Amino acid sequence: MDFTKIILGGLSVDLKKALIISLALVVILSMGINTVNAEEEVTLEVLAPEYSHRTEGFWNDTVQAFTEEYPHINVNVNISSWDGYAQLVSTRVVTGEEPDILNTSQYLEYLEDGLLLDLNEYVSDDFMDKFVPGFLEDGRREDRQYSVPFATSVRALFYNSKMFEEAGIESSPETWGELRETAEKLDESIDNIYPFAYEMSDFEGYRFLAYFFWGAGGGWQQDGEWVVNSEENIEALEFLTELTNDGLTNPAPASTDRDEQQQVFGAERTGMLITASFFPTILNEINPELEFGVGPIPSKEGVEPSTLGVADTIMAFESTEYPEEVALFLEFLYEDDNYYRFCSDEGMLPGTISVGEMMAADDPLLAEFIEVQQDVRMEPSDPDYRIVQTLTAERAADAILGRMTPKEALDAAQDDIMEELY
Amino acid sequence: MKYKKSLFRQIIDSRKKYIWLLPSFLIISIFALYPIFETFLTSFQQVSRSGLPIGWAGISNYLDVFRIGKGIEVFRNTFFWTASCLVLTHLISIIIALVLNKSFPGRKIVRTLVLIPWASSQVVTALTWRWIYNYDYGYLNLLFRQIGLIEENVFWLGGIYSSWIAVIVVGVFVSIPFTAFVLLAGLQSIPDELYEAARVDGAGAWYRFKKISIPLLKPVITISVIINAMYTFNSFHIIYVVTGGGPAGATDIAVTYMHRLAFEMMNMGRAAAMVVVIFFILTVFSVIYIRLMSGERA
Repeated sequence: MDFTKIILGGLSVDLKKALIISLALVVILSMGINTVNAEEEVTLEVLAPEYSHRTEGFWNDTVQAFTEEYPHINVNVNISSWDGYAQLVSTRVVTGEEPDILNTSQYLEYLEDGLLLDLNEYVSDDFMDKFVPGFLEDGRREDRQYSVPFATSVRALFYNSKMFEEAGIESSPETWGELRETAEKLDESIDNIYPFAYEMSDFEGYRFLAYFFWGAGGGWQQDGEWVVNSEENIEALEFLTELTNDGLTNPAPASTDRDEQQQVFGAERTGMLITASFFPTILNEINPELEFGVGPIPSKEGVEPSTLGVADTIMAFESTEYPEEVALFLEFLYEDDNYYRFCSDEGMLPGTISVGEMMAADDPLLAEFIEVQQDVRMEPSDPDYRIVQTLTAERAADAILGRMTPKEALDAAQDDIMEELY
Repeated sequence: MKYKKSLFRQIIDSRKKYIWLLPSFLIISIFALYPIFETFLTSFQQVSRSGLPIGWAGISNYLDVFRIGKGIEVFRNTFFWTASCLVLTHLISIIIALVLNKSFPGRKIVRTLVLIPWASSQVVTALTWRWIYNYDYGYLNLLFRQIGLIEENVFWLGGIYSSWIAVIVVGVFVSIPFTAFVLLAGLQSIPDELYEAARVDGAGAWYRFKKISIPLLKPVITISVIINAMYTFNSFHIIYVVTGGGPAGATDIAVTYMHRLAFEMMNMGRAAAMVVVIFFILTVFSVIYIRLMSGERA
């Protein structure tokens, strides 16, 4: 059977010649492309979330400056909304489409699965010295460093100064007793406000639990094991629940989230709200006239106060083809002038000491926050923490809704956690 | 001389029908069959938190769906959600169908209005309802206060019972157009002579409804129930957008819980097992539907 006749039968001889010539061209052209590759045109992909409308401008300008210095390195930055961001990243990882460089808040599972690049192997010796040591812990395993802090914040109690004045409150409450007193005074003096706002949803409910667990002397773990139903934690949840039942908080904490409560505070409906150090930047946009004050997160009488530090980080994936170029980009990104722009644009506290000094000189409030950075308490650096936080916050919400007592709720959470993890 | 077809042409001619089917088959394979197959595989695997498979898990994912966490609870919630929506949708739709079956001024406008919830994107509808239920700025509170039904704003999405009512209202709202029109079509296919004969014999309106309309509508109602059941059971967007499964996971149905399992608890294996179980339940619905449809033709 003459197959060429079957396939090409009917085609004129000229067409056959044309086919042979095009095949030859393809071969020659592909050789040509190979010679271009020999010049090492590098393309890096960065995936980053959108902190605000200024984020894109920051990345574009930084990349432009970087490319001027290193013309053979192209950097594509993909910016995506925070909404569904974790899923986007997760999908890309699962399908093998991970970027070279990633900026995100949740990444410990990638670390544990060995997907991240050990930055210590490629960056210059003194690069890691730039960072506030406390923030490097999260991404460190022995002498390998998998992530560096990019956008950090500390948490504090923000209060409406005018309301405090009206209710005759002199200073920010530092103990739980004072917190309750302050809330009661606000409630008596002013109508239609929420003296103390918080949330217990799956957005940041677990962080509000952290403020109070730690405030009672409890926490998430004991001796390296997950224990959420300790005496101290139960006391903390009881305090919160009582506060809610007595009408001293926003009415349905389980159905709201921190971002919404920030807006409500901005609408001058809230007396006190514990939130992050980037809140002043947000307030400046929604209500610049609002006079506010900042105080420490209250803790139980006799317990050392602690403040939560949170860091979004930057990391690189092992699968990157250009680790040296990744390192070059990171070092450029963290150069003082460049990094300073990001932090001041977004109101984030810097992860590096030198930019911290620059920003402290700008603004006394920031200076206070930056000082606190030295002693922050971080959440457990363990991918299981995600599950612990989700389950505990859900059960805590049950307690706040009155479906269970705080003790029952935390015991149930502990059972849930044991079931899920072991 | 007889023109002998080349072997190639012979093969193509006899298989032409399959070639025409090829594009559709490819699309279905890529976008439906392959994901189903992958999910099925994943449900038997142990999957790391990053989403990468790291071994086989036998049927432990399936056992875990019912043993651990809220598996049983959310299936219970799903049946409650589906049943409530079905009953309420059909009760309201039959009334609407009966009304639309009569001729009255403005009938065309009413028919168009009834169709609107079906025409709009369900996600947009759900978002709009979420704002209607909003405590501070929602229209529902405003309206109820103005007509004196309530004195203070109600946190509709804050309590468990009110949240359920809230989502069921939305579920019914989006299902009414389809159901009402299916029932209307059914009503219109009932010959007028039957009603005439009954009226002549002295039968009242309710009696006519009970003894003529309902029995003759039964096949239509059955099909409407099955189709609605399939859509409602799997209705992710209404609950996800309006309550997010909250408060405290109280309005979680199977699909929303499964979404959380996959993307908040990073447990892909168990989420996949749950998907397969849901798929199986919906397949049972489909089989019933197909049986009924073929039964109809006979």
